[in-house]
Amino acid sequence: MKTIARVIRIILVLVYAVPLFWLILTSFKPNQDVIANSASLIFTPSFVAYESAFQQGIVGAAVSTVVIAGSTAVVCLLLGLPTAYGLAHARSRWMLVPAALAILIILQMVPQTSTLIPLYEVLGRWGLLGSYPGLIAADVAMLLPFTVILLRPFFGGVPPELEEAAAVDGAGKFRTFARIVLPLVRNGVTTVGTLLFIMSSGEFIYAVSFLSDPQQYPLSATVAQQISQYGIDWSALMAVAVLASVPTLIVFALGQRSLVRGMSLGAVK
Amino acid sequence: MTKDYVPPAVLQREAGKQQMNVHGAARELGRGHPHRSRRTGNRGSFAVPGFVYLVAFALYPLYQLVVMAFSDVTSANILGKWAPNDLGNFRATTEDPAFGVSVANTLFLVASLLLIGLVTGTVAALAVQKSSSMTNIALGLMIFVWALPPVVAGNLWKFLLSADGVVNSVLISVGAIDRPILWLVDGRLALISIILISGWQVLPFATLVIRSALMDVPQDLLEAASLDGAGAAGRFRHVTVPHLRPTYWVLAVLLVVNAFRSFDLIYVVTGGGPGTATYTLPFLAYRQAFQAFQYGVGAATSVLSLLIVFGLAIAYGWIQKREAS
Repeated sequence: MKTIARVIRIILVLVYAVPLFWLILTSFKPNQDVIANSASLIFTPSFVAYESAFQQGIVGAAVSTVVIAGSTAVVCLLLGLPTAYGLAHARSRWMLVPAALAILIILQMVPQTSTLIPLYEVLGRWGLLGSYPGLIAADVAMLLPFTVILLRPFFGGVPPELEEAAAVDGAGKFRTFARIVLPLVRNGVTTVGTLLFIMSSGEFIYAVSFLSDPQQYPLSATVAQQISQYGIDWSALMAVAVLASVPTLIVFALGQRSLVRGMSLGAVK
Repeated sequence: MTKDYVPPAVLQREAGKQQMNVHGAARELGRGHPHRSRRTGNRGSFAVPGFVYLVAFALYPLYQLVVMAFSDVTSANILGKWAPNDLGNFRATTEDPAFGVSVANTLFLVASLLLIGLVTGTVAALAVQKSSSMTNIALGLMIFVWALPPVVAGNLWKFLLSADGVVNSVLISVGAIDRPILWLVDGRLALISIILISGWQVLPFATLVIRSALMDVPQDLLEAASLDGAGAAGRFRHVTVPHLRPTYWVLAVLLVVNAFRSFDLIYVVTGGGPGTATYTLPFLAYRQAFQAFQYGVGAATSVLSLLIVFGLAIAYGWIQKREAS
């Protein structure tokens, strides 16, 4: 059994490491070498693919990703934290709570294309197409149910005595929430915030459908759009893909532990 | 002192509670804000802004989707008035030859990813159960791949699986094949390739969920079973699996919902092709709406795929209830 487990571990490492290795390798390989032999390991490294990526404004796309994913995560938390708290501390005989939870779970199950079609029309009517606020509004709508479902159990763990003590000291509902309750759930905030950033920086379908100008595209949408532009320029495509993974890498380096916790919580992606 | 503003019913209710004195004190202090203190414990109103947002940006659009599915909506009138056309859109989509292919592909994709997630996920989770340096490397890589943007994973595999890509080059150089396998171009292979790529990205999630459930299996039960003469396979079947059952159910639902989202990979890797070989229901809806600009028809297809998702959700709720009783 132990040998089998070791063999499976080695297979897992190879299955996940080798493709990533080739992603990085190809991004440094001149495209004529890729076309001649895509698997060859000996070549003169070149930065041409990266240079052209920077010339084509990859930095602007990275800034867009940070703005879009950062705002989405912040707005989701601003709306999701009070909502999760409200659902966790509503009077249990309030029949609206189970109904609210059912709505959240159903919204969580809706495939993205089902919301894409009507949101295109709704955002268009409200004058939000072609702008970041419209895209962020759509991303928040997609991720808010997930945020609330994940955060609610954290508030359930806050002892009611603490809130009562705060009330004794004369703190109002909102002060109690901001000063007493929120600091107690900061683990949840980090975990869910990390997941929100990763998920919204990977989103590209809303981005390519709701933004009209490719100059506005975030990294993921830029990578998705490369297909038509570079039918065969694999090294350019791989370089852009490597650069599009940098935000993930940073978040991964900073928050691997909270990611693992988030996944174990039953996070949906 | 407090009686001047607290209705008797509230006093009676509070009198039964243990922290009566705390509530009394709170009432006393919160005298200027009677509503605030009276409602200590009910914070339901905090949920209102979040739900107002969801009504505007999630529920209202879904309502519009249903209206659209029963109306004649194209790019010409999407922002204007919609004429109702009864079941015309549903007829149009179900008569489309791509519809049958999409339904079959969707079901095949969902079933395959479910199997990959549960079976391969269990095997992988058992292999990385104990902490070791190799385990940490494997888990770190897997979590990183899970977190990668789907477009990156999709384009990477599009390169690796292309006709003169790395996979074919390696297979040819070791003599396993003598001509390239058309992973993404062959009609029968393309869907399988999509499933494998999607499985590559979803396996880390399944593995981690199952691994954390494995950690909770009581060690003394496993030891008792082995004292009773149970082998490794017997222990797994009779002790571990029953403990994992609730986790498997939750994971199954998440895998099914996730399989519907393979849309991003299909969009990037095959674009639905060759022909309609890798169409799924969400992809067909996208094509109808954003490439043919038949928003009504795309909405009808979306409504049908929503029905499948909700059907699965209800089946899940029903099974859970039966399991519990």
